[in-house]
Amino acid sequence: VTARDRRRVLERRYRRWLVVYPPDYRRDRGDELAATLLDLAGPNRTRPLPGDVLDLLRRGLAVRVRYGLRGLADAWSCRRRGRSAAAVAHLTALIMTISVFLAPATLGYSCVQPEEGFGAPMMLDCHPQFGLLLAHGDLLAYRWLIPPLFITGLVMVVRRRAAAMVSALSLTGFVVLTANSLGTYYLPSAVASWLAAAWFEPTGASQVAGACGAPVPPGRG
Amino acid sequence: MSSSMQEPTFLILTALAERRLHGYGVIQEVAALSEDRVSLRPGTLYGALDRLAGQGLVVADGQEVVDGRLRRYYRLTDTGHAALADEAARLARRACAALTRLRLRPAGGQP
Repeated sequence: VTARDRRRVLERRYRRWLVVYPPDYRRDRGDELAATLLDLAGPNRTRPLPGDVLDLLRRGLAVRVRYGLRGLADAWSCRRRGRSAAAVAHLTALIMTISVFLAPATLGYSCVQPEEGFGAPMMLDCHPQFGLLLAHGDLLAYRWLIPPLFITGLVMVVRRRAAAMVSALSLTGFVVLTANSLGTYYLPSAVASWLAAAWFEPTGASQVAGACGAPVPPGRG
Repeated sequence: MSSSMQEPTFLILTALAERRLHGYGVIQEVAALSEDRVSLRPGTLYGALDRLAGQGLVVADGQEVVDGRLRRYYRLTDTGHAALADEAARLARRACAALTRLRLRPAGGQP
């Protein structure tokens, strides 16, 4: 195994983690980021440093949130729904994921309030009931798979703006539905939808980044 | 820049004050400037460069491929130089005040 082979292995492993960044950002900055990660690695290293990986996850997610917000602002101010649909879909899914952590009590989670311990009056101990999903064995238990599978399939097959638009609508609709009846399956569904939207995001964020569609160089704002 | 700067930001701007550097160069320079107290991870560095570029303090300045690796260089803008000068002057005044007070302290100190 030569030093060059080890480098290649390490580069492949680091690049695998770079997918947490939006595709557009990766296109612009991916090579540079990978180069810097490799420059820093010792000659014998073939596995990414866990600290670097965590750092990439954190920063990559932050960039995705920023792109999503920008897409939403663009959609709002310019009504360029066709171009911004992907960003909106992405953001909706992200909001679903985040809201799981913000409002568990209203979404059908089983919550108890701990009676003692540090900060107990302000805490709710909430568990999404994953156990149900496996124990019941009936197909209804897997209904949380429908939205993410639908979106993934749609975007993979069509890969067009219309698909992104539909996915945005279906995600929004799903938020309303889950809030009423499917609270238990909200978490896995939200996470799966977000992953699906993020992975197959059909429209590049830079295209929707500028106000009214003017392209903005990456890294601005 | 009105509010005070975070230390990593100050160190990144300082690293770029004299000449343009690529990402790895910035990380090395920041480590040296901070006596190895601050080691920036690449994700953090590029996050900071994005932010500083957005504020108009830093700008990309050319690129080259060395040994199959892309190196993009960054330099300070005029605004960046001004912001760093302001912050450096502020820190210098502060350090000066601290040293002055230490000198004025009675020789034996308080019991």
